[in-house]
Amino acid sequence: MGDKHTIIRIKDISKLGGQLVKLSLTDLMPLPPPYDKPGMEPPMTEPKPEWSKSYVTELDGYIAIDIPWKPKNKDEEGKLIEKFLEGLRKLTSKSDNWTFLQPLLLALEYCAKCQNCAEACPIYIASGRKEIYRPTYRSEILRRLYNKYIAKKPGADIELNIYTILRLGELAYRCTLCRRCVQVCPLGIDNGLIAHEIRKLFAQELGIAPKPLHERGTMLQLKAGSSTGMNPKAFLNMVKYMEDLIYEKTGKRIKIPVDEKGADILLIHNAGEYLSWPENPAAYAIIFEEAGISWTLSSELVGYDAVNYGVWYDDVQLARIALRHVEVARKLDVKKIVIGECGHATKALIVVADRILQGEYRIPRESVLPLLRDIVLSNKLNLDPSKNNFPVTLHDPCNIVRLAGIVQPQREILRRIAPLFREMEPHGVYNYCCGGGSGFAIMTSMNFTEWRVKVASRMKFKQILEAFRDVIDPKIPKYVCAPCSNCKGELRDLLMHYNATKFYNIHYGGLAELVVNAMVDLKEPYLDFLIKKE
Amino acid sequence: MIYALVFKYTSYISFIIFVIGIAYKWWKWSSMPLHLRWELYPVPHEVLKAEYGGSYLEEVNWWLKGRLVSVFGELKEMFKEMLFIVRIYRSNKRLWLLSYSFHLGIYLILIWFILIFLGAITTTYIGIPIPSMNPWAIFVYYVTIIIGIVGDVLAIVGGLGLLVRRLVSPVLRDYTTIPDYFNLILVLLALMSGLLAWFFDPSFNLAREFMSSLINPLLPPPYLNVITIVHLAIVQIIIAYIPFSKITHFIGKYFTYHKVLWDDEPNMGQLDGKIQELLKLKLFWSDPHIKSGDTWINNASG
Repeated sequence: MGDKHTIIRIKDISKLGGQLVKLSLTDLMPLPPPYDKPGMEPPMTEPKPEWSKSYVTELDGYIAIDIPWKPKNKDEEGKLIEKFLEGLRKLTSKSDNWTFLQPLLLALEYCAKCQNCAEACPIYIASGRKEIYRPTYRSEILRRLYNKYIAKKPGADIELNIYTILRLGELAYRCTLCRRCVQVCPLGIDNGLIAHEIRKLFAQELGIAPKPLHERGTMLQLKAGSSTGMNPKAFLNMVKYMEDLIYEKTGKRIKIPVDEKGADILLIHNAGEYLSWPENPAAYAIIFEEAGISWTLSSELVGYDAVNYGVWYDDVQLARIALRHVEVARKLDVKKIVIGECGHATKALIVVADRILQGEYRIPRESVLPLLRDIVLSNKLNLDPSKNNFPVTLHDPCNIVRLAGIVQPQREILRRIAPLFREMEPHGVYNYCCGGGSGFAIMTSMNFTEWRVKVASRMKFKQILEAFRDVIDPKIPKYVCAPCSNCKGELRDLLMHYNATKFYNIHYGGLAELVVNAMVDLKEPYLDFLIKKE
Repeated sequence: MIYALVFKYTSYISFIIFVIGIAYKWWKWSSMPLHLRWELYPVPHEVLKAEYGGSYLEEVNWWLKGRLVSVFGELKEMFKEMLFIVRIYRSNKRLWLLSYSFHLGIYLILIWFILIFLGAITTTYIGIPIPSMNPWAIFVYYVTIIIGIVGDVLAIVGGLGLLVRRLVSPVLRDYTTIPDYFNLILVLLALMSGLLAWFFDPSFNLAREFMSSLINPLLPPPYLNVITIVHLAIVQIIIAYIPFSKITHFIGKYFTYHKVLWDDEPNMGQLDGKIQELLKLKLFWSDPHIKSGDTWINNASG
């Protein structure tokens, strides 16, 4: 194979100082046409020298953990090492981590290190196969630390110093937890889970987590009602705004139900939708009204924001938010909770929290996609697919597809309403992550966005370009349908970084908007980019 | 004769350690607490949906529809993986060739053990000598030879290939620890000493005689030559060592797939008791946002 790069070895994680890897555009996986020409991609930037005083630039120069957590003296270093080991002990104990103990210990014990997983990882491949992004790299570090300091097994060749911890903390945020690597593992070893568990160790024991996930994420959500900072009053204003938006776009006056006791469905959207893509929750209001569904939104704290960032880094926060969601539903006396187009929220409340909710907290929960499929296929809406007469491709959100098995509903809808629908390759449960998974889409501090769009999202961008290869002509509008708020956030940054909307007329959005756009009685297109074209 | 007698008894000891060790390992993994759901699709027991990776969550009001689980689907996937190692085949043909040769060889050796055992029963308890003109005896005699030799050679070729691959690739070398090498080398030593022992016992009559002495405590063991003694010693060490090593990945693999990746069982009330117990556990995480020393349920609701 003749690797011309110096191979970064496992023990290098503990190297005293210096940046382990420096990425350059020429090393990254090449993009397909029309992005294969030099100058099409913005250059890479250097981390600012002052950052390294408080933040960890010693991994690859990018900063995901944007709280100043670097120890300032030997004393602080010693304490951090001690607390890290304390956290590692808790991570592998029943009472502190029963939630993932069995999967974690299995993953630590049985990896054969065959490296079959590496080629399945979009980050590893997109980076030009940089060793530090190999799915097994961070896993093997944690495994050796565990074997050496906790299990006291022989043969664990690793040194634990302050740099090991600093780099490992950052490295836990170089994996989107898409778990594509697990699908190819002959032993079912879960490297994504190990990244998740390292994040938990840092958050639950050391209080170290990116601000957008913790301080301005779950903590803010539990206090103010939403990680967007939106309080109940602002939410009610938002509902009014959506009613006006619906009137403006469709000429229909719809009263969006809020806090209606005894409705069949409590619909919870990711609150980011209201701020960034209000046309998506508005589309659901239009569709549910038309289909005669009994539903309501909630204006209670946490009840109007489906997000649960705890699922990415902290089990306690995960449990707290899941319980709040269920409490809101119980108060409203609804029959079920339906989660809007948001991947992680779907997985968090429907799948992962399923074994936290017991007794009276066991309220039925489902994704909105099967319901939307049933409405569309039931012909309750008067739809004209020719209104969507432009190329559409579907992005599969990992949390909905690979991790919850909801694969066909979104496709059945698209086949009905989008005549030029085409799949990306690969798709379905073997899809590639958008690059914004596990919280990345909302992590924008310092230079992290650059790493996301250039490395984590690179494979997705390649897939999008390949899906639209025959229609790349800028005169043809193209739509990447992503039924997930965080995926949309990532696509927004990605398309902006590469100027793909401006140069090649590639747009993105959710699924419900596309359904409403096909409604016969709408005079104007529902999708804004179609209006601009005319 | 003394040596042979010693090895007769150490065979029992290593076998007992193996059985107890494996049972302990199984118990260790199966008695772990219920974990949060963390399934990964495709899940092969999803009726009609496994093919494309779908789940019961694709249905509106899925909790009212009853959940169909296909044991056959799981078994099919399990055997496909066990017998052909399809996950490596699909993504890395070169690695598959080595790994498959190694594992297939080991499976054949396990079958060889069964054949030796059956042969011993045939001669000791049924009274049909092997070799003889009895059709069953002819069958056992020849199949044992073929399966044993083919299995051993395949396992040696694959095992050596895997070892060389680890030594040659700088990445694999970096990831491979001393216990990893130790396991592989120990298995290879057993396989290669087995091949040498076969040169002195080409039709496995000695092996069958030794097995006969094991299944009938009154029967004295046959005379064992030096190479057979060395081989037996290594095999006994391995058998006793397996439960304490990563060679038990066949157990690990059962749990990773059946109890984690394919475990999509929703809580319809049947898990309430277990969950309540777990929520009563105290957690001691130190960051101030967690009430350290309090229970999970109090932490979640407060």
